[in-house]
Amino acid sequence: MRKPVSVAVTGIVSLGSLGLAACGSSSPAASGSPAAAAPITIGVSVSLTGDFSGDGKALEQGYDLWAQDENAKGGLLGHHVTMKYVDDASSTTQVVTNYQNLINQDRVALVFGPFSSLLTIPASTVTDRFGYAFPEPAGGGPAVFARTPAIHSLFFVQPAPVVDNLVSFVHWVLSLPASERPATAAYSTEDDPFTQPQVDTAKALLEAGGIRTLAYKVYPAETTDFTPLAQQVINANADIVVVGSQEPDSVAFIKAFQQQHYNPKALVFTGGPDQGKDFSDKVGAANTEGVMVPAGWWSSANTPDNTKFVSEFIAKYGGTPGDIPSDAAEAYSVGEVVDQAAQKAHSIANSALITALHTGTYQTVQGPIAFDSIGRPNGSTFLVQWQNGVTVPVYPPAAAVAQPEYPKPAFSG
Amino acid sequence: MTLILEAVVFGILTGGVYALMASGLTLIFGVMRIINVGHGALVILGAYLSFALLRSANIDPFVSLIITMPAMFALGVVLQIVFIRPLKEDREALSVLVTYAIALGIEGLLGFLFTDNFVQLNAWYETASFAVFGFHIAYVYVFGFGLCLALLGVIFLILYRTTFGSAVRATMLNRTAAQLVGVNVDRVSAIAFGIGVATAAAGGVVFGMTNAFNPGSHYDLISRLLTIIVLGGLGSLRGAIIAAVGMLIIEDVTAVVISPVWASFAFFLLLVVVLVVRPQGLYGIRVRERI
Amino acid sequence: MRSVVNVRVAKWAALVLLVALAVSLPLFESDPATVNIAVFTVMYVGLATAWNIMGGYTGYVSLGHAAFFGFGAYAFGLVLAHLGIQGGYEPFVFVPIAGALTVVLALVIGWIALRTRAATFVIVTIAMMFMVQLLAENLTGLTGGGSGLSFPVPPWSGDFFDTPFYYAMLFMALVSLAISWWIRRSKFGLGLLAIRDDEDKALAVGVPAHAYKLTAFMISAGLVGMIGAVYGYYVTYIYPQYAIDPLVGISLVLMVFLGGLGTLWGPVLGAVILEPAQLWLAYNFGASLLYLVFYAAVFLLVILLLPRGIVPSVGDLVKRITARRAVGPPDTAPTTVAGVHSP
Repeated sequence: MRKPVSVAVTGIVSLGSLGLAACGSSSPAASGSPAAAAPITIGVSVSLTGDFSGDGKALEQGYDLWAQDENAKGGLLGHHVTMKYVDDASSTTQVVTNYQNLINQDRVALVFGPFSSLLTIPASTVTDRFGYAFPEPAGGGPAVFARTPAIHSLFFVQPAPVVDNLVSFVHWVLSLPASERPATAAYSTEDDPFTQPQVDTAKALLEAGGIRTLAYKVYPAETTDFTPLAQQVINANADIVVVGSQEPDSVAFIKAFQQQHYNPKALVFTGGPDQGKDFSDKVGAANTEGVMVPAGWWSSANTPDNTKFVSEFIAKYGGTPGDIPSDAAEAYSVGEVVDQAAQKAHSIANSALITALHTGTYQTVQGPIAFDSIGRPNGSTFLVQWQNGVTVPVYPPAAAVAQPEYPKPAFSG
Repeated sequence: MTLILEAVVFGILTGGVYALMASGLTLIFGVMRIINVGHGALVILGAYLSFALLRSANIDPFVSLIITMPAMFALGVVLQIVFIRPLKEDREALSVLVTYAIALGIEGLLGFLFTDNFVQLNAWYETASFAVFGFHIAYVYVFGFGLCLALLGVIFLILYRTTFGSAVRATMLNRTAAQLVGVNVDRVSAIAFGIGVATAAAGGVVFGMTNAFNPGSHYDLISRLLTIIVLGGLGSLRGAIIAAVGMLIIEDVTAVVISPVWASFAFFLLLVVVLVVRPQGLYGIRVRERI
Repeated sequence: MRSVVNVRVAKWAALVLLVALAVSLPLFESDPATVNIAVFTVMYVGLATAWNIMGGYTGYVSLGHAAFFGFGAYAFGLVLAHLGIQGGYEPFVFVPIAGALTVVLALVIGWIALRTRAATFVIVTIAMMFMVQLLAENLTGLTGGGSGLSFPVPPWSGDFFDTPFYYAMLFMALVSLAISWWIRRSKFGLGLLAIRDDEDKALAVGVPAHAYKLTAFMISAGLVGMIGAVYGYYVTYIYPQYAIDPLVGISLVLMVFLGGLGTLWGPVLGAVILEPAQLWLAYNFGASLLYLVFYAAVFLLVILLLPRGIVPSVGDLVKRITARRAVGPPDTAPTTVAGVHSP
């Protein structure tokens, strides 16, 4: 007699969730004035579930904002733009299937890239063999560019390849006068292709500059309890700390440092402090003071269209400039780059865009970007620091808006 | 040397949390002979329930247990009656799939309600710590450990000092014989499952205060819990506790002595080593059994 | 008598037709996206069938088979890298090497894991899987660690690319099916089924249980490893968290249970139903985050309504219908061991 009940319950649940899913998945109508040429769809596989989903949503926001702006000025070379998003659940099989479907079944005109080097690599192999351009906001680890044979249709739309992200930080540290310069450093990093190459590069450069390594620890990306790892850094008691992290670990490290009353003179994370309000809410506004992070974009930068981007983002999604995640700016830049390439080539055909993207410099909210033959950007990122509750660029001097705070003020409590 | 001592202390503290979570899992196995692969998801569900109470009504996570534990107990009873009791044949293999489906359902629902962003249970005292032996221990860990000890004590009391507990133990030893002496095995199973899920709620709070979690966190968690109960011996509460503490100590010491990336490996390696010597685990009994 | 012969002829004809259809799929389906889905579907047909050789016939449910899948992929990628093989048709020749290496891994894992039984075995296979994943992640010098491993990319055009992979996967699936079919008809298979029914009794009557279990485990793992190798080559890039993914391991077990544990065609049916459905659902509904709930609910429905899987349940239904119609004693088709039904 139990069985019919169980069957009924699961039957209702399945119908209910399918109904909810069907209702929820209807795509929002794209707004904007009707364009002269045929409307086009741009397909993107985004991680809306799974490990990379927080960033996936930020990318979506950036792409949507770009599509809105583009349509407001008549579309991409006159073509009205509709974005089509599909979820790859942060999985290889799904991301390959997604781009196959987008290109061959939905017949999208263009594609933009997904989140993370891990998904960008298999995705770009698929899009390349169909001749599609693959401008992407978030896959810049060394493996992305180390393909044989090389892929020429991929373009990493950030100022610098990921491996060089901490170079500005290193230059700043080595530029300090000898009396102030730190003597020792401790490193801790996730073993993932985004964070570890950056930290390894920084370590090599700092060691070459005479700064002794007291600790170097690599930890699994799936770690959830960071206290023991933070403990090891604390025990090393180095002058400065370099952490290769994403947001959850950066928050956990800061909390652990607070718990243990440990205050390094300088503290830089490869990721986390660039998540705006989400980060400051989690660690407490007072504890953000002095924390550094490399960034390709910041809300008050004097880069082309940035003020417009920031005000429109706030108008569409709410919040303050400090809340805007850099992933959204990166996604927006992808759109900007494609728009400029299309203008230059007078065409939105993929082959024309690929040729166009390999030459010239593109103006984006992240600053000017130019790509080499395998899609690597040739710039460098800036060093950004939290001061008085907002992030400001502090190095190199040409781009700095404020002086770097050194040593870092102690954590409260 | 302090580093190793620190690691041992830390291992004991976090081992307590895992012991609590594992105790529910091994209890469920012992009574119903099913592997509740959804236990990790239930822990995370408990963590999210407390998170929701914290976010909306600013209730302290430990205090929220007053609400979440009874709620999760009820949920456990319902789940057992609706989804597990109907499984008559091929019980153990099918139960894995059914409980996995429950886990997926919970994961999907949590993802829908809370998004996949990592969160953590915060308390105003979470960065407070006290010094001992040259390092600091956060109060949160100590409170959590205390809670685990208390709840484990309660479980032992129930099992060994109440009539209901005798019924549970009888069912664990021999289901048919228990029925023959008049134990209402179905009712015992439902309540035992409920207790197991309630402990998951408590485990969820302590886990959530010391770890970042999101709906997908249950995979990692369940693999560790399963490893712990096998090491301890399926169905043995004592075994689960000793295994949990032992494995966490080994893991933390490995992280310090060798490297954090090998810590989880040591965790699983310990299981393999023990099983080579003692396939039934530390306190398990060798029975003539089939899946 | 004639009706039995007719049934057998009909069965063979249906089989030939099915295989012919499968083989000719890329010829009449020009859309590479569909072929892509077919590649993954046939991949799971092979995986489910191979897993069934262990889980279905011996009753030892391994939830860690993803370890062999990923290990096969890694082994293949490393062999190709070390020998400097370029993308194209050549790599396919080396797939059996990946299979052989996976068999060695299965020997090691199986020797330890098969000392345990039932629920313990299930959990040990999970633990072993995580160990393999951790090794893939931490031995960065060998595997590239978290940064992943790239495969040589064949220079085929977008429209053609998926086709050779489809045939490779189809070949592996047919080989797995053939082996599974042969085992059922052999003394070895009889021994496995005896182990499933009651291992101690089987031991008592002289079945070399340990050797048989280990052999089944190794065969199952070798096939899964080779399929994993082709998979890695197809997606051109693998990394530890995804190549050795517990979800893959659970999915293929689910497919076998859905179709019918221990039957020949059950795993095939399960794979053909579940994989395209899963890919389609994720593509169309993934964004709403509720597709997991839907999937879980459907899954539960099937388990509650058809606990033995589709093939045995349908088989029973057919038998009841034909028995009602027949005059005289019920169905005379012989069964070898209780629980085994001919496809």
